[in-house]
Amino acid sequence: MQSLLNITHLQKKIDDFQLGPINLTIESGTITALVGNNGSGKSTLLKMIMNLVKPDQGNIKLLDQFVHGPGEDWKQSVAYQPQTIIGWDAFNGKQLKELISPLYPNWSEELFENMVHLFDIPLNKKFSKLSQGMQQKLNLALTIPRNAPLLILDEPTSFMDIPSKKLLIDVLVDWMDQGEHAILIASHQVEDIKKLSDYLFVLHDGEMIGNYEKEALTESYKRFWLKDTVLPSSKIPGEIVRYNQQLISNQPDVTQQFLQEQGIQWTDHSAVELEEIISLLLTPNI
Amino acid sequence: MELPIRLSQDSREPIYHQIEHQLKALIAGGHLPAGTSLPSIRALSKDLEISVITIRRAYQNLEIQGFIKTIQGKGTFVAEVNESLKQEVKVSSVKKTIENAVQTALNYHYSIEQIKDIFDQVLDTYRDQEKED
Amino acid sequence: MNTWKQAFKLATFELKQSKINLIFSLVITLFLLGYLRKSLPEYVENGFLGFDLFFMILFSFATAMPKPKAFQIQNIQPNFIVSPILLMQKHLPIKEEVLIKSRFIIHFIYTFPFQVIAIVGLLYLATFPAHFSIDSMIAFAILWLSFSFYVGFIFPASDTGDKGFLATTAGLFIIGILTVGIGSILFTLFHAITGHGFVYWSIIAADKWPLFTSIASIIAAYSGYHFWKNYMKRNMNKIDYI
Repeated sequence: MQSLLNITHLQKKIDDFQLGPINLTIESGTITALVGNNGSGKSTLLKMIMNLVKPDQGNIKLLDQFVHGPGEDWKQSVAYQPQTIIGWDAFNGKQLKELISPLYPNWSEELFENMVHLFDIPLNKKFSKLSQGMQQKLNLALTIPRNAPLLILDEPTSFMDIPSKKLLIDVLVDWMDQGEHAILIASHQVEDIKKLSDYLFVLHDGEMIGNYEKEALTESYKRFWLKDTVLPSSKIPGEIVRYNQQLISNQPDVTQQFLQEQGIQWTDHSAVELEEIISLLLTPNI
Repeated sequence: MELPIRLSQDSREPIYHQIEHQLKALIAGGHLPAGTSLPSIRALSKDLEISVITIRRAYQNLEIQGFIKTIQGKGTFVAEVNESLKQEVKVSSVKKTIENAVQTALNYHYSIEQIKDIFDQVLDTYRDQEKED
Repeated sequence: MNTWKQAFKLATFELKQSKINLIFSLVITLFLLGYLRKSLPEYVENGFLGFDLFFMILFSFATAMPKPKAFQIQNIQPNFIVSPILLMQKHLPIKEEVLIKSRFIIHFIYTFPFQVIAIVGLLYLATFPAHFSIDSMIAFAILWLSFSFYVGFIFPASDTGDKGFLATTAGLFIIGILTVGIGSILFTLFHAITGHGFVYWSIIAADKWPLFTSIASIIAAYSGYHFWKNYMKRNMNKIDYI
């Protein structure tokens, strides 16, 4: 597997907001979900990858070329779907396609037509006249068929209806199987994260919490159902949070050993849902 | 194609192991005859909501053990599995299920003798049913 | 492929949506031409600021004003003003050089043909000093068509965006007031000190030193183009498009 994107020690300060230091490597064949609270700097990070925002420190390399360097060839290797689409208003889908498609050597007309058909996108209507959901669909139909090695999606489905969201997941899964591709997707949709991601890159208020392989993350969290309600008031090793008779740990083995040593009995332990793990990661101060 | 695989996050058995075992059982049990095309790693990853890293691990293990084969550019298919291997899988699958039951009983602090009694009781009901049929 | 060719292709994408607007540009040209032609003899005689002002506006940006709203620079954030089209194209694999050149081409098409119409119309219709030779006429035309390059190109240059207080509505208002204020003072001073306006002296220069005027103007236009091009490059590598 080839390392497609390589981010090292990336930092950026915007007014009072500090983003980074960020380290992230994306390999071909993988999907990374960029997860974070509102205002955590997800879009800023994606814009830095696109050289739209300049870093204060650190490097971003796409296929071994610095994106903030003088070379511009890397741009053909990445297809970026921004969260807010600016500058498309005056054009219709057909005109936009005429502008965009010749810029990418691997553009797939077939995939474009499939997506237009699948999402029922009117190509002769001006972009400004489309509903927000339809704008997102057109945006995606003009982004995914670029067939660039790296696809960056910034909240692609926030305005889309439930069936369309499902269709998009299928389109992306198919697309991943069509070649050496990788996706970096910022999303608040649990379905997207569960069904698509291999890795979760978690940001909280600009700070990098970590880049986790999905199962490594879910397997590292366990919920213990305790018999005794009287627990030591100090933090139990591995403890993340406790409610009454439940204890959530991210080091289940350590926690289990401690409970055994202290003679605290538990009736059961179970897995923690990914959604809850993300919530716990994004609220570090509970 | 969606595969009837049910994963348990609560189980102590690692996910890739669960996938591996269930696929083996499906193949040995004849649900997936030789030549059947299996979903791509990415498609199975979506269906099971499990990363491709884990799925790939399960597929690789199955391939090494000769249950599946990957043809470059075409996909992954169920391999010809000889009868004795199928039998082995079936037996080990049955054993595994019984082991789980025994583990549950042991958790209730039953003795081996008591477990044997319970097992006989269950077998008797099945024997009676067979007679009625 | 040649970057100019690519830039032209990119510009057509935008210009195709601008046909009606270009007709408006022609209307503005004819309107200003009518006024300037009529007022020229009186201006040469007495001189007044308004004439200079209209003349300079026509030969810098007047005809680019009817550009469709979607293609004009806009506040996409309260303190960030940029051309939405440029921002959209920055997301795509378009070379910086091509992007910059396409901004120039668009401005050029919105201004140059109309300025040629205006200058030819003026030279043909207005009453110039009787001894104004063909050489002088050409020099006069070159002088004002060049003006568009070193002054008018501030408009495509501004497409690359600006941030901070000066890019807010209040900031832009202050810039507007200051430009008009300082401009008026400079115009008045120039007028008071030299006894005449810019256009008057440009006629004199073209009349007396046609070759020098032409060469100086072409050099100024060439440097002006490179100055704005470098400015755009620097600016695009400085601004955070966020």
